Parts: sequence; structure tokens; C-alpha cells
Amino acid sequence: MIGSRGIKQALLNINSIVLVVAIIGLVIAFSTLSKYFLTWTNLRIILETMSILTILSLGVHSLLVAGEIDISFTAVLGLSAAVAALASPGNTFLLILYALTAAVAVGLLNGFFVVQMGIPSFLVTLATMTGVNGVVLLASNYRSVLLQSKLLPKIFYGRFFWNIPMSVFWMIGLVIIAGIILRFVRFGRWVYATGGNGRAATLMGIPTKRVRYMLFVASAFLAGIAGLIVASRSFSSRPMIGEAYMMQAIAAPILGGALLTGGRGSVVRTTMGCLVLTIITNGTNLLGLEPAYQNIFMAVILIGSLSTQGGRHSLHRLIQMFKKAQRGTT
Amino acid sequence: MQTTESKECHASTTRQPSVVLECRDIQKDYGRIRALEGVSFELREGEILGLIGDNGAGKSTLVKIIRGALAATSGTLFVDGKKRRFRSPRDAIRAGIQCVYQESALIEQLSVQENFFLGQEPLRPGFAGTLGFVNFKHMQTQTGAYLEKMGFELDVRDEIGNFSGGQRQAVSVMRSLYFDPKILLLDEPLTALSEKAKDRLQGFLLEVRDVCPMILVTHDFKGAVEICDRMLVLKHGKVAGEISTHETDLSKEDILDYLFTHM
Repeated sequence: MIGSRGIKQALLNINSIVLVVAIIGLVIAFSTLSKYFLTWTNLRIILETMSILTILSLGVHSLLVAGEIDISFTAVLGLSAAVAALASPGNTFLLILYALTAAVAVGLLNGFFVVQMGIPSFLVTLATMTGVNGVVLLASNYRSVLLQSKLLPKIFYGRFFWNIPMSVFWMIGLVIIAGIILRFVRFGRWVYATGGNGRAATLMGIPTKRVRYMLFVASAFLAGIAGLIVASRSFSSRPMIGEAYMMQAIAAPILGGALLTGGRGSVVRTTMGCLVLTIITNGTNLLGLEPAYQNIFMAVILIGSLSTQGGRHSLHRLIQMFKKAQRGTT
Repeated sequence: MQTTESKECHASTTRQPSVVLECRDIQKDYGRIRALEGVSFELREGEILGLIGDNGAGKSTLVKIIRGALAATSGTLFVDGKKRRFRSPRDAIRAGIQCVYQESALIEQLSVQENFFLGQEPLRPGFAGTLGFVNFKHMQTQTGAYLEKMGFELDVRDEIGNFSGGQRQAVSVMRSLYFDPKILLLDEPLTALSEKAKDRLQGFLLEVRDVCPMILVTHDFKGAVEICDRMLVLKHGKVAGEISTHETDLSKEDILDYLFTHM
């Protein structure tokens, strides 16, 4: 008889296998179509592009696991970049502190309205996104603001090793930290419990409100770091600069198997999802396709992923029914 | 047989077990609606106290107050003679009150071992523990050994969602007992179970009664008569009656008659 843990593992592995196959397939396809795809310079560009997306996705992913969603991260990214640019020149440490404090403040606001007031997170973060974007537009007078700091771009985008920007190392570090926390640390297990069955988690003494509060703050903090990377990359901040990441940062965790209903998700698979999306963007750029095709491509992939998810759960249910029936006959 | 016009609980004359939990004049208002009024009772060592009543009688509200999910409007709670005020279920758990719920309060996506230690995950020794790293090895061995000792052989690494209702409820009861609770609250734990699973669990509760006193909240009078030492009838938020199932001159039918007339 098949062990149910084996089934679960197999089904979860399907997600990983699909992602690995997608990555290999895309690499083969794009490297066949473009001789520049498999060059060191292009691989570095992929890593650079992927780093900001992955950092944003980590925050979105954690909230999805807890059964919540944050769409204000694009605005928070812009806010963090704008604060750093507007406050410059000045002490680099203070610039970082101001930018991240502003980001965390939005996270606290999101947490307050979702956790304390009980308003759905989608609506709250939609409102904060709109409001924060407005604040950034006003503060920067509808224009780009120059980042007048030499050290800050070095910290977040300096190229110290093999010409790879620091943003890639930030990404690697944050992926490892997020992965370890969610998998091995008590708080991480509480995140899964909160998203899996919030009521049961509360009954068992898990401080689900605090967990969700902290995740909104963490998501905003990560968006704040992404904002500093973006500002460091272009030596400036521009209003609405984060909008380009909206779709992809939400799509990546879903591609990785995170459920919108909470309780499931993996940092590793989310990172793989980011890689898939970045390869698509990069490859279509190399082929000279119009950005409109990229959007269509992304939409197809997202819908395909959601359909696979549905199929995976139907299959899981079917196997369980079969197993129960089998138990009944023995 | 005792009626509770005086709303007092009476200790048994044959033995004097100590009082583990005392609720004194508990009142709970939801705005203008009074859900509980002047509810007083005691839970003693080694007994199973049934808390029965119709829907809306106040059973759930009372249980929520005892387990820290709701604050009473007035009244006092004593655990082991000490006055307690719980602000959250976590406070109640820390005071030694564990609860088993009708719907088991389990997380389907987590493994048996993770559900077993849900909210009370053991940490690794040393610095890793300070950082909050969970001791999965300890969880696995402890859960496996404890369930096996109690006669259940499950793969503790498997997701709890893969098991039957009876097995899940068994895990739920076991995990509550594992932490050596002073008091075990059983909130309709038998409702969703098959007859076979119900019998097995009832037998188990009788076995562990001496280890841990329990309050069993139930609609099922017949089931309650089988395992409870005393029963408290709640009606419209008040204690409408109390009966001891150990009074020798009463048959089970007499007890059931009494319960029905006081509902």
C-alpha cells in the first residue's frame, strides 16, 4: 500500500519537478533561439533582475502561507527609494534607517487594519498602496529624485565579487534566512499553522494576531530593502517605480505551490518561480519581442500554474478517497 | 439528588478530593444579552464533570471563559485555589488547562507530530533553542512513543489530514494529556465520531480520569451518564441542576429523567 506521506511528498515534488522542467525547457529554448542567452553576462543580468523580484516575493510568500496577501509592496518599494533619495546627501546609516522605518511604518499600518480592525488584507493593502503612491508623488513633486550617496549604492548594488552586484548576495542571504525561519524555527511553524487553520492555531495558544502583524512588517521591510536596491541601481528614485514587480512577485509564490487560502508554500520553490519568470522576461527581451508578449506569457503561466494547483489537490483528494476505501475493505 | 436553587456544589461525603477548579458567580454579558449568570461550580480531583444543556444554554461561553478565549464580565476563577484571570488561551494553557475541541483544533497541512506539539513546540538545546529552532527529533520520538503507549500506531510524520476523524480526535486528546494538564476540558469531543471510535475514546477517558480531572461538554446525555461522575445542567445561562451519577439509589433512567426535566 502506498504510504500517504509518500503521496504527499510525490505531489509536492510534482511542483518542484514542474518548475525544474520549466527552467530547463526555457533555458534550452532561449539558448537555441539566442546565442547571447547562455553567456556569463546574461546569466549575471538574470541574477540581478531576479534579486529584486525574489526579495519582494519572499514577503508576499510568507503572507500567503499565513492566509493573507500584501499588494502594497510596490508602493513601499517606491516609498523606501524616495525616502532614501530625498534624505540624501547624509549619513548612509541614517538614510537606510529612514527608508526602512518608513517601510516598516506601512507594514504596521497594514497589520493594524487587517489584524486589529479585521478588514480583508487585499482591501487594506490596496488602499495603502494607493495612499503611499500618492504620498511619494507629492513628496517627490512628481519627478525622479537623485540619490546623492556614494556608499549606499555600494552596499546594495556594489560589485565586489565577479562583477555580481550586492543585490544578488542580499537575495541569497534573505532567501536562506526566510527559508530557515519558515522551516525550522517555531515562528515559521506558527506561520503555517496560522494559514492552515487560524482558529485552531489560536485555540492552541498560538498568537496568530502577532504572527500576522509581524509578517506584514516583514513584508514591508523586505519591500524597503528592495526599494534601496532599486534606488542604488539607478542612483535615483522615481514615483511608481515598483509597479513593474506587482504581477511577478505575486505570481512567483503561486508558481511555487503557495495557496491563496494559506497553509502551504515553500521558499525554495518561490525562488524557483522567480527564476522561471525572470528567464521568461530576459529571454523574450533577447528575442526582441514586444513587452506585450511578456505580459501574455506571464498570464498564461500564472493561470496554468493555478490550474495545475487545482488539479494537484483534486488528485490528492482522489488518492485519499481511494486509501480510505481501501482501509474500509481491510 | 441535588437541585441547585442554592447554586452550590457539594463535596462527596465518602471522600474529600481537593478542588482543582472553582468557578464562582461567573457572569457574561454580550451587550444587553446575558449569556451566563451566577454560574458557580467546582471540579475535583479524579472526576469527570459533565456540562450539559441545550443550544444557547451557555456551555460554550463557560468553556471559553475557562480556557481563556473570553473574559467574564464578572465572577472569579480559581485553579488549585489560586485566583486566575486568563487573557488568552495561552495563559490558560500555562496554568495547566488543556482543551479538546469538537473539530479537534488540528492543522490538516501539518504532520501528526507538529499537531501534537502545536503551540508548544520543543526547542533545541543551547543557542539554537534561544533562536527558536524547533527540536523535530524530540517531537518525533516523543509523539511516536506516547501514541504507541496509548495504543495508537500512526506515522507521526504524516499529515494529520490523511487520518480518520477518530484517529484525529485521539491525537487531539493524547496531545492534551501529554502536557500533564491540571484540568482537561472536552468540548463536544465525541460528536463527530463513529460509534466505534466513540466507545474507544470514552473507555480511554475513563482510564485517565484519575490522572487528570475533566469537564466534558456534551449534548449526549446517554454518553455523559456512562462516563461522568457528576453532571451540571445549564439552562438559559444559569445552573439549572446538578446530579451525581454515583448515587446508588438512582438508575440510569432516573438520571436521564432528571436531566430532561431540568433542561
